Amino acid sequence: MTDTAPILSIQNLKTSVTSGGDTFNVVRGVSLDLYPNEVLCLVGESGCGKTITALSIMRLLPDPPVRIQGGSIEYRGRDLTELSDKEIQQVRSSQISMIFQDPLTSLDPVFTVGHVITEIIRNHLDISKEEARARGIKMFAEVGLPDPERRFDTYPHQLSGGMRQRVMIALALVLDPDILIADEPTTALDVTVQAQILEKLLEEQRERSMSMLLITHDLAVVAAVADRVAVMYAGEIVEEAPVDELFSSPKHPYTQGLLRALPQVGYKRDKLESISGLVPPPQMMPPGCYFAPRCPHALEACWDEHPELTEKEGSRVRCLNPQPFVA
Amino acid sequence: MSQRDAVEERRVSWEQQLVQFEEEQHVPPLRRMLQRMRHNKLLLFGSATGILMLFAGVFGPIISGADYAAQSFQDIHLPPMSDGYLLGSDGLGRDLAIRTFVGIRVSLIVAAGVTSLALVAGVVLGMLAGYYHGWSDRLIGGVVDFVWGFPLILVAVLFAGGLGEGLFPVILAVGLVNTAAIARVVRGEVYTLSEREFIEAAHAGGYSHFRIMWRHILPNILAPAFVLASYYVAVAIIAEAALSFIGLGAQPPLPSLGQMVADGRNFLRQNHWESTIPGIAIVMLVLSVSLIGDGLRDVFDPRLRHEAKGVDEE
Amino acid sequence: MRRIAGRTIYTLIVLFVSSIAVFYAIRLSGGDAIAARLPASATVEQREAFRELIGLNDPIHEQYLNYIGGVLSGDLGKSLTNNADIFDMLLEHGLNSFILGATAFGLVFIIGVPLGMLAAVRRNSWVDSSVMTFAVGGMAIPNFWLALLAVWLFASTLGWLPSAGCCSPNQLILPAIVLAMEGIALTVRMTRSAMLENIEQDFVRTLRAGGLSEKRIVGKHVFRNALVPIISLAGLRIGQIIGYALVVEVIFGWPGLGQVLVNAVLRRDYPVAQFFSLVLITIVVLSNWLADVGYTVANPRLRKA
Repeated sequence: MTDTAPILSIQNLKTSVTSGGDTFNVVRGVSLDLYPNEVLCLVGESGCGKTITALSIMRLLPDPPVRIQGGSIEYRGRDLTELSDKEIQQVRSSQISMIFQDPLTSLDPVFTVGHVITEIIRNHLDISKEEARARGIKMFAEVGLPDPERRFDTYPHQLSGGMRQRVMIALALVLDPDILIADEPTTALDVTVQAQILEKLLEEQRERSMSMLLITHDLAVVAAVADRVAVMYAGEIVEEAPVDELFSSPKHPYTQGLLRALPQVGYKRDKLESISGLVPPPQMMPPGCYFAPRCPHALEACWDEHPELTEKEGSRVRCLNPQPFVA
Repeated sequence: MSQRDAVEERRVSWEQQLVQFEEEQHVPPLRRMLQRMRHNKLLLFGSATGILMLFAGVFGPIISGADYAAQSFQDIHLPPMSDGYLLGSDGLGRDLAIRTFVGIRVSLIVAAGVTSLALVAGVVLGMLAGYYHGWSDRLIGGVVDFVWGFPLILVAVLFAGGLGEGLFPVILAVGLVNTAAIARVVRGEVYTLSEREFIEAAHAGGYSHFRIMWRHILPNILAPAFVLASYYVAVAIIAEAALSFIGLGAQPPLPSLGQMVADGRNFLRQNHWESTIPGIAIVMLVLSVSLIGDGLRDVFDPRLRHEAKGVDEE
Repeated sequence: MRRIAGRTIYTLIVLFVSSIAVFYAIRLSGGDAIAARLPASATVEQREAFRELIGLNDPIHEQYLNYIGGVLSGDLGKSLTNNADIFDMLLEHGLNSFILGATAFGLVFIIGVPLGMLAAVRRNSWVDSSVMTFAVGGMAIPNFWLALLAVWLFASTLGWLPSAGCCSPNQLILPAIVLAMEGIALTVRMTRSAMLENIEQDFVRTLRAGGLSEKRIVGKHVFRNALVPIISLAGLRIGQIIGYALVVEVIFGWPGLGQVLVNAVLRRDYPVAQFFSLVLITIVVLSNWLADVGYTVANPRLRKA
């Protein structure tokens, strides 16, 4: 996959938060490539900066207090961080789309879902109301919204959680974008609905030959859908690998810890494992490797030297002392 | 030293640094609240004005020692800083300073005094309605909704129609409407509180209803109730002044700020101070109470903190 | 719909209860007031005959039924002070009050909503702080005091507008603005905070992700969401305007319902006081009902609930 050129290329992205007079980075130099037709999963604990990274791509950061400090995001020869407000508005939803975690609060409560999809279509395409309506209904049908004609004129609160998320997908895909960013799209849904929504997302991704950046903390989701996985810790990528490689031979001790913490059906452990300690506060990062305080294999050098992301057996890993994985 | 010991040493020292950092970051809730109060300039300004007015109303009449009804026909329509009349005199030669002080006192008693009582009554009624649900809720809730919808001035005029003009119908109206307004909000807050885990835990722990209300619910509703009460004090000050202005409130010779403004308006050309001084006093009273109310809301209600920040930065 | 029906039944009950309350309160105290209106030389028999004549000696529930019967058949009695027919008074003064009240009500939203939006859009700028200072001032200055200042400035000093009277457009301007002032101030504050609150909602991010312009998102979606509490509370503004109309009409000599009621109370003209109390209460109760309906209509989440 790496022989084709990436469709989206993030280089050394730094994003900061200002709070109580202090400004500190929460994304600390993320570099990440997204290739055509692939599903890339961005994994990490809450607060590791994965959502901020995604919002940075779309330039949807709440500024203030969150702001891009440096780096570039290259898409079709243009640096998204340099675009004017008007230019980024044209990119949004027609070329890069995004869906969010909570489908209830993410939909405007006082307009019908049909009104909003029509508005988004007509914002980018010069077509009549009737044409836009037809296109909207077709899109609702495609994402599996039952009885789309009737649902077109309903308000979000009249739909179930799963249907709302289908509406969100329809809003995101109606202009046929190249890239879909999905930020924890199933976290707020019932378990039974989660699988349906994921299935629908994958189906759309394949049919449209689109690239998908899926953000999640759920490794089961990753195993089911990802082509490639990037693991984030404390605002940077610590490991990046094809999905099979990552699950069969994780190299970073943090990734290994995540996999060990995964409960497995039909296999009883003496105790559920977890990674000891806490993520350091963003104002107060360890001098060397950010994971050193929690790492079972830390060397003295790990406290002094911040490791770079380096190639190792088909993966890229940010570790001075990688150890083989023992489940 | 072995590699393992060295790493362990680094880890321990790192954890000490973290603990120190967190201690520096941690501000006790009370101190944080005081800090927010100190940073809220409008709240400070409102409180300072409020204390000044309180002082004027409580001690002004005592210190000046004069009689608010004493007339002196040689000394009518005097401007402020006249000999013997700090703020001048009115058309009957009465001392404006002492009358303004007494007027402030009347305003404070009617508005703040009665609203304080209404706060107690409103909290008790609202708690009973919100906590017990059932018939007590329907009864109290029904009456409260009924009273709450009426504008204070209309209620006071209706009472004046039934009881004759004077301060008493005004006091009754302020008490009734403000009790209802406070009870209404408290009831809503208690509704949401009773569904929270810690209340359910208290039930499961077998505490008496009284203890749950007193120890667990009351502390949580005091802040919103106080904020609301300060808003209704402002409403009541305006209503009392307006009613006295049209002749339905305080009756002569007892001065009231609204009545003084009305008395002075026929002499605006001769000596406008007779209207402006009590008028300014009313504005300062209302302003201080509203600023205190707004400020307290910002301090107590972190959901609205971005609003408060907006004010701070101005 | 169930919600609206429920509120309608509740409103009718409230109207019934308040008509009884007003009737009893004013009748009980008003009776002696009438007696006091007879010349001091009147004998006990003459007073008694007068009481009998106007029905004060009947059981009070009969008086109530007679009264309500009279109200419903259009026979409202006459004023004790000038013998004017109360029904004619209602028509004449009612229209005046309607003109003043409706103008003030319109001003509240025509001025208040755009100013609040402006303050929200230009948040933390000098525009915002001047609008908010104006709003704080508008709430702190009692309207009778504002009326006096306005008369002093625009009528006495500048001579642009008449200081009182009825009912030319020129005479309407000052009382309408004074009457609307507190509502405007409240509406400015509400609009601003509702806009700021809604602009931070998740749905705004979705619309941004949809590529809509900031202008469109704020001007249409955020604004429409911010209108929900403003429309919901519009009915309460009516109640407030009625309350303050009692004061403002007196100051500007605007011959409306409020002025009639206040004068009737001051002169102990009890048939007038009683009837006009009932009229104003009815309007307030109906406008509260309207507020409930407005809340349901403005908020799709409640419409089909």
